[in-house]
Amino acid sequence: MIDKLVEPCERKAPDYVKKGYVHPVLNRINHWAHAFLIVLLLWSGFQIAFPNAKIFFGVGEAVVTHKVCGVLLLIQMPLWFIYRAVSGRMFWRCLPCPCDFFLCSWRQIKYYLFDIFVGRPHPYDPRELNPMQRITYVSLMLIVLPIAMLSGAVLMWPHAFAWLLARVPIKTVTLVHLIAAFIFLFFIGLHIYLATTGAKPWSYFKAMITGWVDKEELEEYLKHAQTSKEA
Amino acid sequence: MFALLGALVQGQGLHCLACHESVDSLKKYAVEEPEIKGPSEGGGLKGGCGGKPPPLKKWQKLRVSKAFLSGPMGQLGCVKCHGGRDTADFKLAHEGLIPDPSEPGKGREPVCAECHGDIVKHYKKSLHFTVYGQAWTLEVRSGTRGIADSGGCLYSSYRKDCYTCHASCGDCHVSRPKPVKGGLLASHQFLKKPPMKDVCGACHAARTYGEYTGNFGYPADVHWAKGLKECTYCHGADELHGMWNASDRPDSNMHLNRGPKCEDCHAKSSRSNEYHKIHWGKVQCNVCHSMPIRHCFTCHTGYFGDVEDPAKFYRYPEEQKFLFKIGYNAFRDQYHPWRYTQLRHPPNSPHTFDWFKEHYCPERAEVFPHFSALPTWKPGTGHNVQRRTPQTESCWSCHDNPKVWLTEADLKDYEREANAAVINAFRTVFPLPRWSWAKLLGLAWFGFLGLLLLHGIGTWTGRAIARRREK
Repeated sequence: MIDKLVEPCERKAPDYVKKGYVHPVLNRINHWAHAFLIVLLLWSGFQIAFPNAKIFFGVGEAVVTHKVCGVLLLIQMPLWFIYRAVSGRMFWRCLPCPCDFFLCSWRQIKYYLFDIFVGRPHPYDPRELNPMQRITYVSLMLIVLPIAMLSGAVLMWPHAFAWLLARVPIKTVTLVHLIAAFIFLFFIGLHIYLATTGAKPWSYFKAMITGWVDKEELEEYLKHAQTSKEA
Repeated sequence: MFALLGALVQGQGLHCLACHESVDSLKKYAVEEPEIKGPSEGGGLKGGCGGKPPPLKKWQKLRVSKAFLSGPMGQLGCVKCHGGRDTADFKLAHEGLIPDPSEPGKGREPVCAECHGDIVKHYKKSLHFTVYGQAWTLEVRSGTRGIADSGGCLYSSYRKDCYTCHASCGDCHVSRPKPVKGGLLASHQFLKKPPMKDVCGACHAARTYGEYTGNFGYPADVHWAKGLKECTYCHGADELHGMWNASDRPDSNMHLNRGPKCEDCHAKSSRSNEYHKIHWGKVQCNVCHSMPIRHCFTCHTGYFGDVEDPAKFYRYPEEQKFLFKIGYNAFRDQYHPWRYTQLRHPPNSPHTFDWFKEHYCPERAEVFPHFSALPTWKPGTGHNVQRRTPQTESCWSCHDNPKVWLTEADLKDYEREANAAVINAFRTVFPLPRWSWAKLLGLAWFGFLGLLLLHGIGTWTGRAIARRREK
C-alpha cells in the first residue's frame, strides 16, 4: 500500500509514444480547438460580466461570441471524451495514480520550487504527463469544465432550467460560473508559462504543433535518468 | 351663406338651428348635468379611467354653428340624421330624436354607413366600438362564452358597465365621447382628426393620456415633450377603425398586428448601442424606456355607494399605485415576441362586478370561477417613454435589482395563482458581478503573472549559470 503512494504507477504507453510521437493529430486538433474556444470564452465572458470594461469589441459582440463558443464547446466536449475513452489515452495517460497525490507530485513541486532554479532537468519523462499535469488535467476536464459548461448552459437557457433556478438562485449559478472562469484564467497563465520551461522556451509548443517530443528535451531527461540509475 | 340659405329654403334645420345656434335659447332650455369626476382630481390617484375634460356648460355642448351647414354634412339637414322634426315646438322637435346617429340602434345601422360603409363595417368590429377586450376577459374569467352578444346575467354587466365606455363614430369625430357626457367638439363640424385632449384624453386620461402628457408628476413622454406627436401619429386611422383582416380576433390589442411598434420608426436602432444589441427583440422597449406607470387594483366592485349615478359608482378603484415592474410576457406571440415586458395591473379582482352579481346574477356562486385563468399583471406599454430612465442608468438597474421585478411580495392573495407565469422573471436574469470584483480580479491576475515572470527569470538565470558551470 505504502509503495503505491511513493512509487509512480506503470503506464502502458503505445509504441509510437515511446518513440517520441506524443501528440497524435486528433489530440493536437482537440488541444488547439479547446484553447481557441476557452480563450474566446474567457475574453468575451469577462466583457459580459464586467460590461463597463472595454476588453472585447463590444458587449453585444461578446454575448454572441460567448454563446457560439459555448455551444461549440458543448459539442466538442463529448467528442473529446469519446476520443479519450476510445483511444485509451484517458486511462494510460491522464488518470492520476495514488502516488500522484503524494510523493510523485511533491517531486514535481520540489522541482518547480527549487530544482528548476539550479538547472536540473525535469524529474519525469517528457513523453508522459507529469503527476501535477495529470491531476490538473483531470480536475479541469472532468470537474471544473463540466461545472462551467453546465452553469453556462443554465445561464444561456435559463427557461429550460426553470426547475433548477426555482431551487438554486441564479446568483449562485453565476458565481459558480465565474469561479470556474477564474480558475481557467489562472490555469491558462500558468499553463502557458510552464510550457516555456522545457529545454528551450519553445520546446513544448513545438511538440504540441508537430506532435513529436523535443529531441533535446528527451535526451536531457534520458541522460539524467541514466545518471540517476547508475547512482 | 348660400348653403345656409339653401338649407333654409329646403326647410332642413331651420327651426333646429334657430335654437341650437342661439346661445340665449340654449341657455334657456339646456339643463346642466352633474360634474364629472376625473383622475386629475385629488393629485392624480383618485377617480376612474376617464378624464375630466375642460368643463363645458350644457348650452356649449349643444351649440351648432352656421358654418356647419355649409359643409357636406350640414347640407343633409338635421332631421336626416337625428330624426325628430324640424319644428319650433320643443317637444315635437325632439320626439324620436336620435342624439347620436352614428350609434347603431335597434334595426338601425349607424348613419355614417350610408357613405362610409367600408369603414363602418370594420369599425363595428374594432375595440373602440366593441370594447371586446373587456368582454374577452370576462368570458375567460367567468367561463361564459358570448358575453358581448347574448343575454345572461353577465351580458347585463357588460352592457351596463363595460359597453358604456365604447365609442361611436360621432364620439370621436363630432363630439366628445359619451363617457364624459359628450359636447360638440367644434359646433358640430365633422373633424377628420379628432382633437387629442378632448377625445383621446377624455377616456384614456387615467393611464395613457395622463402618462403621455406628463400629468402624474413624471415628465411627459419624449414623443410628446419633444415632438408633440399626437396619439394618431402612432395609432393611425387603420388601427383605430379596426381595418384589420376579418380573420383577426378582435378580442384584444394584444392580437392587433397592425398596432404601432417602436421598430416602425426606430428599426435602425437595433444595433445603435450595446444594450440594444443584447436585448432587442427579447426585452420590450418599455422595460428600459418607460417610467413608473399607474396601476389600479380592485375596480368595478360596487362598494362606492356615495356616488349617486349608478352608472358610475362602481368605477372607482380602491387602490392605485405608481410603480415600475418587469415580468414575463404572458401573451407572447409573433407580434409581441419579448420574453420580458413592463407590466400593468388592470383593476381586476374576484370582487369585480360584485354589484352586478348582487343585482343581476344572484344565482351564481361566484362571478369569476376561473379568475386565475388570466394574469392580473399584463404586459403594459407605459406611455411615458424616456430616453434616459432609472433602468438605463446601468446594467445593474435590472440585473441585480429585484425591486423592479414582479415577485410574490407584490401580489395579493387572490392573484397568486393567476400570475404564476408572470412573476419571478428575475430568477432567469443573471446578476452581474460588481465592478469592484473586476478590479480585484485584475489585481490578482497581474500579480500572479508577475510571480510567474519572476519565476521565469529565476529559472532561465539558474539554467544559464548551471550551463556555464558545466562548460
